[in-house]
Amino acid sequence: MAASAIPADAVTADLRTAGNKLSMWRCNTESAADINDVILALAARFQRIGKCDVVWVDEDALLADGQVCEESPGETTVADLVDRHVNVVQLDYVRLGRVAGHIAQSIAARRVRRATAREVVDLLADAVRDGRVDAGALHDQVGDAVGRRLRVPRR
Amino acid sequence: MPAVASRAQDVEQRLIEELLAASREEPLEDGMAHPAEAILDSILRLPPECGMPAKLHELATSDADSTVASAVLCCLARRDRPGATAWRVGMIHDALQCESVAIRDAAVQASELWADRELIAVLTAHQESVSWLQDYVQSVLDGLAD
Repeated sequence: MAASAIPADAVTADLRTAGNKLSMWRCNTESAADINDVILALAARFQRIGKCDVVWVDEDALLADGQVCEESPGETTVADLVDRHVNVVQLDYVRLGRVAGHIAQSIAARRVRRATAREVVDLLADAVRDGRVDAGALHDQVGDAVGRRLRVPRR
Repeated sequence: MPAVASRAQDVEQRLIEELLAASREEPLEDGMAHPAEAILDSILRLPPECGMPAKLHELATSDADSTVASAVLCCLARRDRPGATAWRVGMIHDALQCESVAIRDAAVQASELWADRELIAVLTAHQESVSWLQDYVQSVLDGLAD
């Protein structure tokens, strides 16, 4: 497969749509803090502790490409991030392929971040400490890991 | 006795087939439970003498089916240090030698989650050619060193 090609598995697995919509989260900036907020929004509903990969695309470029973004409450327990969620809607085979192209460009430009499992736990622990996340709302395995982290302060 | 042995082999074969199907059919999502995990739990409850650890090692380190290998390894990573330490370390060592970057990535993810001290030497010795994965290896090593 050519280096620039988009593997079909990536489209079917990582760009899974529901109702011809693709879920995304909006960042105000590309700062680490804003990207971490997106990771936090995702991680707050994790059932398992693990790494979290995110890739960001320029919303203006998506819109210029004819994509339609609709604001929609996000499925996260972080109340102040719920409104950061958008769906790319009206997707069909061709339009989803074009979204995949934007994502591939972002990956090539290294507009990606991998949070390690440890960083995911740290983000959640910080959010619990700051009152942004209710520890009781976390899934069991995740809540246990966050609880351990809160009892053992980071170095 | 032969009948009993046969039934046990049937169970093992069925579990492996279910594991392969789940690994191929259901994409693994960050942080989300995967149907292969429950199947792995059933496999891990079988006595080690049945050869299932060796079978899982083979599946998790096979470039012939990198989708299955990486899914099995990622789902094993989510179990709390399954099997023996030597089995886990040997599997990670062999997975890191695979051509598939997805399998090598899964091996590093498992190393982070299992956090075996013995894996520090394995990761340190690994020469990773893909830059983002090498960055991840270093992050995991930093975490394991704490």
